[in-house]
Amino acid sequence: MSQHLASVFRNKPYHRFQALKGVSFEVAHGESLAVIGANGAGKSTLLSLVTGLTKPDKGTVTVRGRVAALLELGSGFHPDLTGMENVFLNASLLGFTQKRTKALADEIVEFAGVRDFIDEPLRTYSQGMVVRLAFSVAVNVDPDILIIDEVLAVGDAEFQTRCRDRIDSFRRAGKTFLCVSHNKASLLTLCDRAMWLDHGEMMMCGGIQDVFDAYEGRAALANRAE
Amino acid sequence: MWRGDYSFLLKNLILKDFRIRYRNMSLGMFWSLLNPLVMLAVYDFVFTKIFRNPAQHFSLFILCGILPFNFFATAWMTGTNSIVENAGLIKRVPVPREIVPVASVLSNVLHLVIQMGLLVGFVLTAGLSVNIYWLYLPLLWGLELVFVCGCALLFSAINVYIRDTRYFVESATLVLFWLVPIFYSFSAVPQRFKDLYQYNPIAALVLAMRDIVLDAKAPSDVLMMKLTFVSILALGAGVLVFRRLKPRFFDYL
Repeated sequence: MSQHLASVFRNKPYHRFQALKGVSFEVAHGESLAVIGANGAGKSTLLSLVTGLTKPDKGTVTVRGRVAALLELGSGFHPDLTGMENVFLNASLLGFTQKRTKALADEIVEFAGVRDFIDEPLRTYSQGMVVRLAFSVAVNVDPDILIIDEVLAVGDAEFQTRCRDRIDSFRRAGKTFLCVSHNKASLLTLCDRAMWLDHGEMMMCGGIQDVFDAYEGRAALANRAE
Repeated sequence: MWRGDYSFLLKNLILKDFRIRYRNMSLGMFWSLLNPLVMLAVYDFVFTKIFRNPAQHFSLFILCGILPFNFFATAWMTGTNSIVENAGLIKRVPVPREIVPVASVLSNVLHLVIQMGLLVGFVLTAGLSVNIYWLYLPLLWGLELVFVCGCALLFSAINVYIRDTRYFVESATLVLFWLVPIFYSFSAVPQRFKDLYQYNPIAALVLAMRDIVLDAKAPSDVLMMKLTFVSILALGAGVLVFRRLKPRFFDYL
């Protein structure tokens, strides 16, 4: 207990686990980077650092531009609020003004395709509907950098196509896209570069096809060894 | 860093707390009135029928005590829990963290406004009137809000690391209930404690409200100065500690 208290007030990390070690990379405007690796490799920690949710113990993170991040299914959404109330809450969390939120509310609801349920509490929504609404808010705030952590897999095929179109046009507009996913097919269509993390270390960073080849090659090797 | 519309964010966070609290209740906001009325009825019974308290306008006397106390107790508690309860926000959205406890304190203000309406009702039925010194009330309550926000910042940050904090707050609230002159008048407090009493912002607010509502006089300058001093001190301490502790919220939530 006393050790716990002391560590709190000295602002030192209590747990000495390093989620990321010596990872260094740059992503230029208009690039899209996929982060791949096994569970616990540090992918989500990496995205949290870029989003500015936490600071690294060592090293620096520099981000230029407005970030919109979808790091978890419906984070910032509350089940007892209606769809529309959640749209306003989330827009304000992402830094919107009231005026812009009002102007965009229709488009957000339209894109999410949940108009009929927009005045119902969110707990009555299916998972897919929540993701659609969350994604719709995030892309409509017009961020410079869009960060998505494995949430898109929940939407149905039709919505995934629409997301892909939206992310494509987003990239054509010179915006930056960061994504964590275990879905190879969608990553190959969405991203042109990839970073492979393993136990907090960067194994490889480069063209997405090359990185996937190496990543899968190693996985196959590991399987054979067993 | 987060750049955006602070007032719009604050408004939405307050609305969120408020809606969540009342949406699933059938009586909703009516509780803001019912709660003090029930308390008042019980106290009235005990202190006029059992103890035979001679105080004039006893209901008003009590009301001037329980309104500040109830507001502080609820706002302090919800403020203390706010960061832990909004862990999903803190961990996933890069909002300025300070705004979360502040919003949770402010979401109690509507409560307060309704209860002040109740006070006005009691004042009028007691044959008293709303006098010029009521103009002090916004300032007094503003200082009280500063104090509560300071406490909320301080305790919500500590609560992230030491989850027992909320039990401390619960116990402290019980102690405070008797250290604030709710059932007894300030004149009954022994002389040597009187000075100290006024440094407690909740007690100071109760005393000031009784001066204004019951005696139609302005609160003393000494009292106002003490209230201002402690409120600003609390806010300063809250802001400093919060700033020191917030970088590791992410790791501990």
